This record gives sequence, structure tokens and C-alpha cells, in this order.
Amino acid sequence: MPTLEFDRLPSLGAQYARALFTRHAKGTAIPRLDAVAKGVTSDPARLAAYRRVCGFASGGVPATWPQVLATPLHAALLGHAAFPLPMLGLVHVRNRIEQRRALGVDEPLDLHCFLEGQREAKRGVEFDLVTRATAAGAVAWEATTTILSRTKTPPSGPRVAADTAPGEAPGAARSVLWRVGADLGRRYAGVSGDYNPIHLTAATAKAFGFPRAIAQGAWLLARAVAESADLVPGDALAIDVAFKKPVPLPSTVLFTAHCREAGADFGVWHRDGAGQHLAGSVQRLS
Amino acid sequence: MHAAPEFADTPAAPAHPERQQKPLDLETVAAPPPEARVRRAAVFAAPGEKRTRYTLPASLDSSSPVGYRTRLSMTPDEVRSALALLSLERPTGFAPRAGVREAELFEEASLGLLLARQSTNYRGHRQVTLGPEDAAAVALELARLTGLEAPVLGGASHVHLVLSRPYRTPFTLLLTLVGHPAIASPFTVLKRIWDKRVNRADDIPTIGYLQHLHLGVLADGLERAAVVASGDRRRAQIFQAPFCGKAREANAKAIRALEARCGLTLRDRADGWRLALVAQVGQALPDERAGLDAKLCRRLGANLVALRSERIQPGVNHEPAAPEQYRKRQEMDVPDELTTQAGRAAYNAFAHWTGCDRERAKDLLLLERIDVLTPNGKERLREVRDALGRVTDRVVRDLPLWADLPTGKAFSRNAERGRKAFALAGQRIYVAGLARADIEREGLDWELAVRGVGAAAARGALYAELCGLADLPPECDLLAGTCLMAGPVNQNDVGKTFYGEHDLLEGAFPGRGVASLLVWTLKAKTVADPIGNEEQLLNPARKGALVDLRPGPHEVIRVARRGALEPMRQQGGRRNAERAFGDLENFVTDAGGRGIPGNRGAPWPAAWRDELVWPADGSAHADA
Repeated sequence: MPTLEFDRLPSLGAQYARALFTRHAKGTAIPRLDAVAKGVTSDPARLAAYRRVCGFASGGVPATWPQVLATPLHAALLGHAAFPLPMLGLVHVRNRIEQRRALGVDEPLDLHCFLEGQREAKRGVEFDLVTRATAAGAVAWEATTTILSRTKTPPSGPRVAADTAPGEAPGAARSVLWRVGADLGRRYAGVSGDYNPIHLTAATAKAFGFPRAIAQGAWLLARAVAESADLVPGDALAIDVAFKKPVPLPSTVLFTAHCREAGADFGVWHRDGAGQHLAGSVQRLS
Repeated sequence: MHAAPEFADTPAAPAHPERQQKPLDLETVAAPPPEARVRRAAVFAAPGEKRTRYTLPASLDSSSPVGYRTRLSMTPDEVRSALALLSLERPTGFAPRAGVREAELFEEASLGLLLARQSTNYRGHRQVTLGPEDAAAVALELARLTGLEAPVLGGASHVHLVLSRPYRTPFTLLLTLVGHPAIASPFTVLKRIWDKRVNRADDIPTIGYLQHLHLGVLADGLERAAVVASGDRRRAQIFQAPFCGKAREANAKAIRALEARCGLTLRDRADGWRLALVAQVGQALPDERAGLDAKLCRRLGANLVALRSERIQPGVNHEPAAPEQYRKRQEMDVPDELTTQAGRAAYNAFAHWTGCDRERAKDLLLLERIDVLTPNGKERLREVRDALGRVTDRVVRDLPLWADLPTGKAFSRNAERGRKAFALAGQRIYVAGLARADIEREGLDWELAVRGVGAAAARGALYAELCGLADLPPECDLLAGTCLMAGPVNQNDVGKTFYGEHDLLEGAFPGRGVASLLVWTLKAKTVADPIGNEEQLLNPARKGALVDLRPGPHEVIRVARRGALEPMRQQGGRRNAERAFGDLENFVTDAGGRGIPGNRGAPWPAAWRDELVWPADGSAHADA
């Protein structure tokens, strides 16, 4: 397959529109697709707004930002005629981010995104969307977004019993409730470009089978990384998260973090500790 | 090196000030034998089980720096060092200015305005904190005020301007209906409402005093907060006198100018908000430090945010449904010498804040001590309870039916609840009051003296609480606790004003026209009050009828930064979730170490905590 090369980041709206009106390939075999944009820089005002919505305190580039920057390339890949799965039904299930060094706000990045690793999962087809940011000739940042296309009903069977004891696990280094407002989906869409209707209003979410709007997984990830920022100091970090249950809007959720050697484990839970929305870790890279 | 004296017209600072206050000695409270030690049963309600005031809260969603905390044991030497804070003299100057880290300013506010150590939490205070440049301008304005009780100091690193409003709560709403003749009540109630609304009249005099009692408590707390939050590097010079009584009238124009710096609006003024005290904070002169090391200050800070009003004396005033540990009387007593020293702490505070001679303070601050475990004490306590009970009976009986019946007797039920709220329990009790004629003869301002009583009570109570931390065994929540109450004197005042009762202190100080103002009880026990009492201050869903929630810093404090008055710790889409002195880890958990979700909070981002609030050159300034 050819590589989609862009002189500058394409318009996200145009990519969405193209995806809507493109006749997609049949079947479930995902081809290798690449998209590249060189010399991409951040809009400082948009970056500042992103920091505010996600709660990042420091003035640098958050580890989750390049993924947002690359969203138009992701849309170009997932909306491409050769990509066989419907974009609207895709579910963000896991994410790994490796930041090898701190990125400068003004630093131009060469972004390279591609699809790979198609595999069968319990509930359908999973694949990876890899995003690489290269600066000064070296990969400075890389993320692997694992996406599920639901094609099957999950197999029934005995469920692993969750920790149902009231209260939170001992030894938490952070334990804080976040009030997630009803407008969060729209606010995050404004800075990220993720205007998926299931995040915007209860009415648009209902049209896609959700009783209420749900928060963007990428926001939940960024908010958790922002809250963990001081726990694992350093610029070279690996962040792993698994998305469990969506966060309905509005709601109050509990964030907890436990420190361990060279890193911390964190989770986002229902406010009383029962039911998990996100499980993750942040680790210093040697 | 001292900051140059700049304010020649203000009272001169004595070169070697004589100690106005007496140092305090530690008097320990003996822990009971191990088999008699009980703690609060810290358990979560099981899934499906009904939560009660004795079970741990399901979660905490609050910006308050306090949270659900536990007391930390201190060594006797640590407590002895800490007692220096209960006889602090005023600073005579500030050392050269140093930058103030945001984290320190937050913890100073946490131990000051945000702690509200009164038994009834009341959101009657707001604070505006200005940086060094504004502090210098404020110092010049302060120096022009008449009635200053201490020298205005140069070189402050920052200044707190504290606004206050009259005490108005659901309790004062109930009072509107009290003391009316049966037939004329529809008219007299309306007149009372008018007077309260338009003329800011109080139903009973002691309600008006509450505002000043709370300010006295706050002033005493602010002075300590500057020391503890800075690790004994800063001191506060606090001014109250120019904002009281006749001095306030004389200073009206200058006070208006200071209020303008706070951004006080017409609406605020209509709601009764006024500038009530000013605290200059600066670097302590080396020989005026309190002698506390930084580590001790942190431990002390963590304890100060853990101290609670302790209303329950096990085996005495517990609920019928209370768990076992509250039902059994504990064979403990507050030592006689501890009670005496608590009184000494109170006299220290009264002399300190009114500026009167300490020996004279003993004549002016009228303290009745009731030793409950003695035959005379038992008899006296019974008298007090009976007198308050009589008043409650009259209040319930005389409430206008036209107001009570349509509300399903809500008012009389509330009045009945007073019996519990005003119940006095503890081994030692202090009742404090003032005689107005004596205060006037002494040339003291009445409002300032009332503030002095608030500070005296808070300091006396704190002395007992600190002593109760010495060698605190792990099987005990505390060894000594206190409850500071205005309720009994308010109820007594209802009796005085409407039903011809005598003042609570009339028997102890006959013929002096005494007005009792506060009561504080000292309790030796090992089990802390049910956590539900604290939840009333932190959980909007379980808020008590007569209390306000503990505020977050962004709700009541504004800081002059970046050319504006910014809500404290509301920045970049975030609000405070940090618990002050949280690094000491004194959070309530169950026996297995499981925490209350949200209780531990999260520190303010390091990038913001470590920032200097004002640039080192002091160039920040506020646009009110």
C-alpha cells in the first residue's frame, strides 16, 4: 500500500468527511497503511487549552500531546478506502506511550503513523495504530494505540471476582475525586478534534446506543497522566493503560495511584471504589 | 539585620520587650491500662449495610485541606517545644524579606482561615492575601490608623486582610421566633425580622458577640500558622484594635481604602462583610524565633489539622445506639494542674490580644472552673443543666404556633435538639465571660475584649489538646480533647433576655454585670468522637443543620498574583485536592489500612507548589 504523505497536517474535518463518503474495502483484513507528515509544530494556544482541559501543570509538552497532534493522520488512515472497518464502531482499548526525552513546545516533529498487528480477540478484531514522532533524526516519542472492532458477543463464563471490599487499597499515594462535567466531551473535542458524537451530548450518544455521553478515553488517559506527573519524575517515561468501562458524563470518579519501584500504578474508579474505568502505569525508562 | 523602622507614629516596639505571657509547662494525661484503651471502630459499612455516623464515610469529595485525619503521637519534649506557641510575644521587626513558596502560603492558610477550629464551623471569614509591594502600601495605610495595639512593621513578605460578616445561621433564624408575647407575636416577629434585616440587630446580645469570638479564635490561629507553616522562619503581626468599636468609627475612611484593596463590592457590604483584622507576615528575627525545628513544625501542623471538637464523654452523653466503646465510662481524669495551665494559657491569650497587663487580665477575663468529678462540681453542673433546660422548655412552649405548625413543628423540634447540643460533658469545664463596666473602666474596647475571650478559649483548649498528644499510645485516638461551645451561653442569654434568668457566671461573680461568652469542656478519654460529626463538615449530603462545610481555599481566599486577585489554588482547570501536611500520612483508615476514597487527596502540582508566589523583587501587585 502506498504511504500517505502530507506536507502539513491535513484538516481533521476533511478527513472525517472523506471517511463518511468513502466506499471502504470489504472483509476484515487490515492492510499495512502508513501516513507521514513532516515538520509538524504545536499551536501554543491549543496546547495551553489542552493542558487546561486535562489538568497538566507544567509548561512543557505533555507525554499524551503528540498523539493528539497526530489525530488527523489517524483519521486519514482509518478513513482510507483500503481500511475495511467502520470508523464509528472502533473502541480504544489500550494505549502504550514511550516518551524517550522531553519534547520542546516549538520543536518540529516528523510524525509517522501506521496500522499493524491485526489479531483475533475475545470480542472481535484488534489492531495497533502506531504513532512515531521523530525530531533531529531520532525517534523521541512513540505510542501504540490498540483498537478493537467488535464483531462478537463476549464469551460467557465465570468472571474474575473484583475487589468488592469498601474503601481503597492500602498505601495509596494519590486518592482524589474528579468531577467530570457534562460538557467535558465537548471541551475535549474542542482541543483534540475528537468530535465523535458519543462524547458530545446525551442525545447524540443515544443515537449510537449509549444512554449518556461518555468521556473520551484519550482525555481519561491524559488526565491520569497529569495527576501522576509528580509521582514519577523524569522525562523518559513509558505509560501503559487499559480502558475498562466508559466514564458517563457527568460523573464523579476516583483516581488512585500507588508507587512502586521506578514507577507508579494508577486507576480510575467509580467514586466509591467499585467498578474500574481505567488501569494504568507509568514507568521511568532507563 | 533588622528591617529599617519606617513607621515612627505607630506604637514603639520596646527594644527588649518584657514577657507579657507566662511560659506553659507540659502536664501529661496518663493513659489508662491497656485493657481499658479503646479507639474509634474505623470500619466501612458492608455492601448493602446502612451507613451510620459510626461507620467510615464512603468517599470524600472536598477541596478542604483538612480531610479525615488522626492525631499523631508526640514525645513529651516535642510537646514542650510546641507549647512555646502558646505564649508567643509579638515580633518587634521582620528580618530581610525572603520569597514565599506557594506550598507554604497554602499551609499557612490551612492552619488559619481554612481550619475553623470552632465547634460550629461558620463561613464568616474571607481573606485577601497581598504580596510584598502591596504589603508595604498596606503598612503605610495601617500606620495612619488610630488605636493600633502594636507597631506596624516594615519588610513584610505578605499581608492577610481578613473580612468578616455577622453570625447568621439556621440557629439565628430560629431565634427570630423566640421571646414574643403570644397574641402580639405576628407583629413583633415581623418587627424583629425588619430589625435584623435592616438594622443588623441581633436577637440576643451574645449572637452579636459570636462574630468577634470567632475572630479572636482566628487571630490566635493565624499567629501560630505563620510559625508552623514556615518551619519557624516567619512571624505574624496581627492588628485587630483599629477595626473594633470606636476605633473603627474613627478609622472609617482608612478602613474603606483597605477594603477597596480587597475588592469588596456593594453587595458584599450589604451582606455585612467588613475588614476585621490585618496580619502582616514576615521573616522572623533570629532571636524571636519560637525554637521549633522544621520537622516538629510539620508534625505539629498535621496534628493541628487533626484536632476536632470532642463532644462525647464515653459513658456519660453517648447515644443509646452508640457502639460499645462509647458506652463504657473511662476511669480517666484531666489532671488538676493541666486544668490550671489551660487557664494560664487563656490568660496569656487575653493579655496578648487586648494588650492589658497579664495580672490585670486575671481580673478582667472572668473564668469559672467547674471540676465535674467533685461533689461541688457535680452540683454546679446540675444547676447549669437545669437552668438551660428551663430555658429550652420556655422556648419550646412559647414558640408561635402560627409559625411552628405549618412547618410540621420544625422549629420546636430544632429547639428540642438544643438539649443535646448544649449538654455539657467533660471532667473539667471553663465558663468565660466579661463584665462590660470593668472593661470600660480599664479603657479597653468591648469588641476587642470579646475577641480576646475567643482567643483565650481557643488557646486554653489547644493547650489541653497538645498535652493529650504526649506519648499517645497506638491503641488510643487521643488522651485529652476539648469542645469549645457558644451554645450554652446563647441559650442562657435567651433566658436572660426574655425570661428573667441570671447569667451563668452571676453566681461566681455576683453584682458585676457579667456576660458569659463561651464554654469549653476538657475531657480525658481515649476514643475520638464518631466520624459522622466530622462528616457533617465535609460532605454536602450529610451536612449538619447548624454547620457550614469546611471551605476549599478557592472559595474564601484570594491572592494577589499576576496583577489580579486570584482564588487560591484554582488554576489551569484544577482546584485544590491537597490535604495540608499530608506527607505526615495521618489519614483515617480502617484496621486493614484501607483508606476513604478521596481522603488522601493529591498534592498540588509540584511545578506550582514550588513557585514563589511573588517574584523575589516584590514586583507583584493587586488590582482590586
